[in-house]
Amino acid sequence: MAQKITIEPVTRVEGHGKVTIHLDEEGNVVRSRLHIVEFRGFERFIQGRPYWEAPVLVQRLCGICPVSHHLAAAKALDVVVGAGTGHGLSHTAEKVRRLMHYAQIFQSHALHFFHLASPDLLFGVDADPKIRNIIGVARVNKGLAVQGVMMRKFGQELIQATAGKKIHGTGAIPGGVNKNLTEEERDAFTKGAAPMNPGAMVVWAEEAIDFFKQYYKKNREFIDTFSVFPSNHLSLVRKDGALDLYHGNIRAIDSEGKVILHDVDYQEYFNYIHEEVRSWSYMKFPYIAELGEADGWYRVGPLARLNTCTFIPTPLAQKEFEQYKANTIGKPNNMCMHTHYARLIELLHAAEVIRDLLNDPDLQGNELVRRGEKKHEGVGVIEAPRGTLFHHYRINDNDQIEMANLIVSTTNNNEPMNRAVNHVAKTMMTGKKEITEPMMNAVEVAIRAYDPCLSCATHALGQMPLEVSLFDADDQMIDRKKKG
Amino acid sequence: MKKILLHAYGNPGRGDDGLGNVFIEEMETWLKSTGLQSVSTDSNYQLNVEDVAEMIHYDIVIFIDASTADIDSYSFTTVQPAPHTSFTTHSISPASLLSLCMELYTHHPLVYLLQIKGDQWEFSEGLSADARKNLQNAVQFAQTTILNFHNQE
Repeated sequence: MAQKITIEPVTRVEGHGKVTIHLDEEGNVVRSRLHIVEFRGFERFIQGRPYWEAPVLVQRLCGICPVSHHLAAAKALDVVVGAGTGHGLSHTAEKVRRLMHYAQIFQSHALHFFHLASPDLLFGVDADPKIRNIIGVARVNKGLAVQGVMMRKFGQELIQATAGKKIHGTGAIPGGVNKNLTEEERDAFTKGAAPMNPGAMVVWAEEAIDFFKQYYKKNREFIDTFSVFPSNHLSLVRKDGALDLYHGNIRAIDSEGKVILHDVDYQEYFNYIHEEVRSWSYMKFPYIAELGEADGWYRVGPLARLNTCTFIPTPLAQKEFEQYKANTIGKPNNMCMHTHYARLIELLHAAEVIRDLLNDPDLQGNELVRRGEKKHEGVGVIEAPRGTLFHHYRINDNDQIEMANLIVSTTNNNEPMNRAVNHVAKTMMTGKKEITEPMMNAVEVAIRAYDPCLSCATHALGQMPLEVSLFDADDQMIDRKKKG
Repeated sequence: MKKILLHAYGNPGRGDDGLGNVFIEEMETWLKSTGLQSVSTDSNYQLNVEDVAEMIHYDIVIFIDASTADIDSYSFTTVQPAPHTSFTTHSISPASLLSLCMELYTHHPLVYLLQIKGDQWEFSEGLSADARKNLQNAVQFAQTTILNFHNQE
């Protein structure tokens, strides 16, 4: 029986990861969907506000990566105030922002490793969720857990030194930054008591990669086969093809490595990337316009970035990158679980960039802001921890934002996440009338690889359960399980 | 003298979800006027794992959050450790933080949760009228409670 799914307001469940699975009369999975709260309301929220408020306001979008939104908005508004993009800023402004951004990448990737990946690697993905969590990790491997906490703390402190207050970070402003990094602030990191210094962070990042590689050696079949599907991949890359998480052009490749977007200027992203609306979801589905809605969807994030870039411009991460690429004989990697591996290589790269930047005297420079001829429109794009993040603003003559379009990393990954969940559902739910524990685990593992950004309203008292609902051919719910 | 940390979390861009953040601003003004040196404050969007490294420096930690629960203006409860975690990095509860703290460190503080009842949760800045009233009640309660803790020496 064909079924028409209509999304009702009640399905907009905040703070939940919600999965629905629909079966036909023979018990085959006909479709499954991941529902995540969309951010469209936020775009309306900032309309009418003075443009210079945007870099502060947009931090409200995500409590885990507010810096990414802060910087993407500032980059868009650099264009508006006539500072241009990328190297249009002073050396000091660009490097302070880079330091802020790589600190954000570092702490977010470290958190992901400690919070989401290491429990699976230590206990196995099928282990009891009561022990397969960060507290279980702390119980059996205190050293690893302390490293996770301190890496996150190191990144957070760097962010505070460059961005300012946690809630009202104001470090990046249109055209530059509002402060440099003083020698005292720098020394607090470079001469920090062990282990809170950049050298120790590089070593710990290397150890995290070794930890993953050991697991990979023993569990190669699982890592190489879980939720594998071909996709396009998209990210920023530097002019010379290097991995660059702060600035670059948009490059996209297909699952075989053919370049389908040739390093295009992100000021014109809307000519290349369109967004599809589907009736059942509040979240849009972006796609590469030339390929169309059916074939143009793509992945973003660590896996995509290590597929699109040609090399990594720091030596230790480059060495790891070469080993990583050898696993697919240089071809694009479409294995979902390798996202963890790619994320750790980026963690090491971020640690190296932070170490090098902290020794750069440009951080203590005094030219903080550049401005030029004002424009009414600007686009800012950055590689956030979870993937490419687009901010696009149009300003009226009263300096108010009259249009905002944000494509966040999780939106870019909307179709891949749905495919991953669908892959798991078809593999594990066909012919089943109830949701099993292994099924719940598998859905969780698939979603964990992307760590989607959920609505950041914390009044749910810190609880963000994963909920899976199973529907029969008559659209009647026959089972529902909740975890967390 | 007992060292106390007031740590609020919430999103000021989501209406009353920012109750905790405003609570901290009000308490900072009050603390300045009283000259209490043993009380520190912190405010963020979310709790996260690195907060355990801060918690261990205090005898008492009070987390402050907005609440959708059917409570009076506010509720004040003792937090018990619970090894509950989420599938996402975007959330960790006070109970989980305490649990993590106890696993990693020999010292852990007494932990309380002050929930303040909110009403509006859409994208907006500023608190609703009801939330403002609840905030004032919670601030008064917190000031009395802190002075009691302080005088217990």
